[in-house]
Amino acid sequence: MTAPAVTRPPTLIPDEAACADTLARLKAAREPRVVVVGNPNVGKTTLINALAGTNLKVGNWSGVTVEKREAHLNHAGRRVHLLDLPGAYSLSPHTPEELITRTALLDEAPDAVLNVLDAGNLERNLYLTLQLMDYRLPVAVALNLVDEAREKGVQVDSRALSRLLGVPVVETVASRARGTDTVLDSALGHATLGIGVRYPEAIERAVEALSTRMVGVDTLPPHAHRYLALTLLEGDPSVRGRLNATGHAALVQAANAQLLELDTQGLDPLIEIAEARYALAGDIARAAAPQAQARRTVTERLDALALHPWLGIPLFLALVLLVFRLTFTVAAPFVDLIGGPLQDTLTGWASAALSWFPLARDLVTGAIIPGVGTVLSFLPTLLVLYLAMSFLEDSGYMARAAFLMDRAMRSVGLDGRAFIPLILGFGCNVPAVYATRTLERRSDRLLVSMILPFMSCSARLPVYVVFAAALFPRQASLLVWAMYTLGMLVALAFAFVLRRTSYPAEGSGVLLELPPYRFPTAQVLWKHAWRRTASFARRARTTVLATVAGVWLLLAIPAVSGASFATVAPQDSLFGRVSQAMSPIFAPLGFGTWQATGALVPGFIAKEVVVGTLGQIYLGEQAARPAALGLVDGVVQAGRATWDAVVASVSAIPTILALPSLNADATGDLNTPLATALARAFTPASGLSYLVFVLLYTPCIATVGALAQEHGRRFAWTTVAYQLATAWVAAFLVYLIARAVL
Amino acid sequence: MTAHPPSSPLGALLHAIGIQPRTPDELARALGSTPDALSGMLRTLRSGGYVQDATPQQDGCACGPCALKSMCRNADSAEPALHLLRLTPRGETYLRRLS
Repeated sequence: MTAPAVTRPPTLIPDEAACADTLARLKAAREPRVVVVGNPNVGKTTLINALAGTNLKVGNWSGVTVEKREAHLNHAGRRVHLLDLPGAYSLSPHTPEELITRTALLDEAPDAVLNVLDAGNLERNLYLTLQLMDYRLPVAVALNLVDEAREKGVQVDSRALSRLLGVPVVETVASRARGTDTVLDSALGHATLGIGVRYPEAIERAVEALSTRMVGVDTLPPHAHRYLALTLLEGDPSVRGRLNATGHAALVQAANAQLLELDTQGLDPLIEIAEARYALAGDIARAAAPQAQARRTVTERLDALALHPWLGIPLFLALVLLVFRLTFTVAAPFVDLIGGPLQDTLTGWASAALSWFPLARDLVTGAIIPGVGTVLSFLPTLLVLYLAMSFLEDSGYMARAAFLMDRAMRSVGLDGRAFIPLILGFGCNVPAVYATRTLERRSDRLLVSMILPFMSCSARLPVYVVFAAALFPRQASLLVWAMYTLGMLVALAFAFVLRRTSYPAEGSGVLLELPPYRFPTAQVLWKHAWRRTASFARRARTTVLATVAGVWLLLAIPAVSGASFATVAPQDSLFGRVSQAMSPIFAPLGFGTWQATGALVPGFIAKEVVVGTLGQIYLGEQAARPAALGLVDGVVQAGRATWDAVVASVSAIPTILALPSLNADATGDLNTPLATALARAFTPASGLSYLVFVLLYTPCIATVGALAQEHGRRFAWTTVAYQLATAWVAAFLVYLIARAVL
Repeated sequence: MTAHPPSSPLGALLHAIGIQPRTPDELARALGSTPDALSGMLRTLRSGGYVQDATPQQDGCACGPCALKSMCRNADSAEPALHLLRLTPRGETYLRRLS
């Protein structure tokens, strides 16, 4: 294998005299000290175990719990002190291990360095090698893990690598003791200073000036002059502190003067020095391993499909549709169970228990059970949805989905980080508003805050589910999927328009680190899904409960003369009359009834309350005079219904993969009393229009509060107004189209 | 921002981060490097203050002021699901100088 010549950047030619002196010291040392240095996980410990055998002693480095391994052994008739330094990616210390390695190279007076490299990861490993060469110590390289590299398709030409680095290179497989017998021969007999990196001319001059000041200073080892000078120019605080503390403050001041001089030339030594090392490391790696095109991992192969520019988004949408189908199919019988028989049982028990307190009975059976109960009946839906979404998240797929979404957002001019608040918006819009703080520019923060309420938060899901089941039983999951997709499309459309009119882009990219794919455990999935479902249930017993009680009160207050509290007909109540006054606004959208209009108003408090209020309005009346039920009868009734729900849920699973057009959507079996009532009250066109309005109008009062806190009241109310207008116009258009088509 | 990518490794990496979102694998392929080598470069850039984390942390700005935090399903995630890096003013200054 012939290695191409390295042309960039130029390398440092070691001073021959210094080189000769250093090598002579190594040869003359009575017990040469060889330090073993390498990146973490390159098989360094395995190698030193193979070299030292029973001579190995394990202790701790002074003052820290980092393991210190060393051995005094005989090799080819000569005593050798072998010292294993902690794994380090670089000698610019970021970890305690790296600090120890750097300090040991300065203080332990090594005679030679044995640098262990991972053959399958040459480019990254060579950065440390080139830093070691700044120490001007004799270096030998053990090219380890060559077997694993070959399995990955990486072939390293060790002779070319040796020529390019200017140091001896020995191929090893330490785990099988292959090549280990010649490693010490190489370190003791052939180690050299290597090529070293030649930095930009101005930096080399500064290094030279600082190195000259160190000559003759006993406490500064000669082999480290060049490295210390470079480190001073890099601004390393630990080296500066050490030099200041050991009476070398003048050297630090001289370095400061050099830095000022470099700054006037527009040079940033920290990155210039790193650039030179990475450039040379990359060139050497490419030259020594020209076929270093590693075989793709499973994650890379899956990502080729998941992140494909054209197939990625359709795949994502198909997966989301599958999730909704799974959710509906498995959960529908349990929604029926809670919304029907269990609610009936509770109502019967409450009627019996509260028969002597008519007002309390009316509140519980006419408001709390139908209102809160209807919302809670969607817990199974959310639990299954969250299980499926947790699977996608914990498997690593959702990070890819976020990346795909980010691409789409970028295509309409959004900041690369905008997708974090937008993704959060699918869970809850409130933290999403606060997450806009991660965006640097105010224009980006305002733009994202304006569009993120269009992302369909989980509180809207019960509304979609009950309407879809009532009006489109055979395409329910498809309809819910369409609602989520429509929300994203509206957000993208507004971003596109606003970016070109009100909030111009300034451009900024990001790098997204994607986790590898993994199969999540059932325990983790359950934990995540349960936490989210419990959060929804907590809202039902606080926000929803308070709201339905408020609505019950308004429904009980008469707005006509001659009626009394709690006996007034709903349409003549304060709630009914106010809703009637507002209903003409929604008449062009196809749902100009006081019941439909009235449910939208408490929806400002929280979107799931829309369903609760609809339940209260449509079911409260019939539930107000239920038959009282005994305890045993209730248990028997609930037990029988639960068994039926389990059987129905399990038997529906095979239909998940069937196409909606084949009439196999299990949501056709959703038969809650509310779904039945809605099927009578809405047409398919008006129901669709209602869903679009719910999707696009203000998510909740908490989101408005968050917007006001972040961007001011004026912005918050402007956003409310424009979302209401958008929701009205979109619902109107949908109604017109749906009426013509359906 | 430079119109053409710089030829130096770190400059090219900063430029690539600056122009469009990518994954490390994509970026490594685009730069003719490997994801591992890239992670080393990113470590250098992060420690030097040329790039910084852009992901909201637990109890960070996304959750800290939120009144619904106690009820929120996102609030007690141990780890952010996504890790994002973006350029700092120092990184942008270096890129401008390269142009």
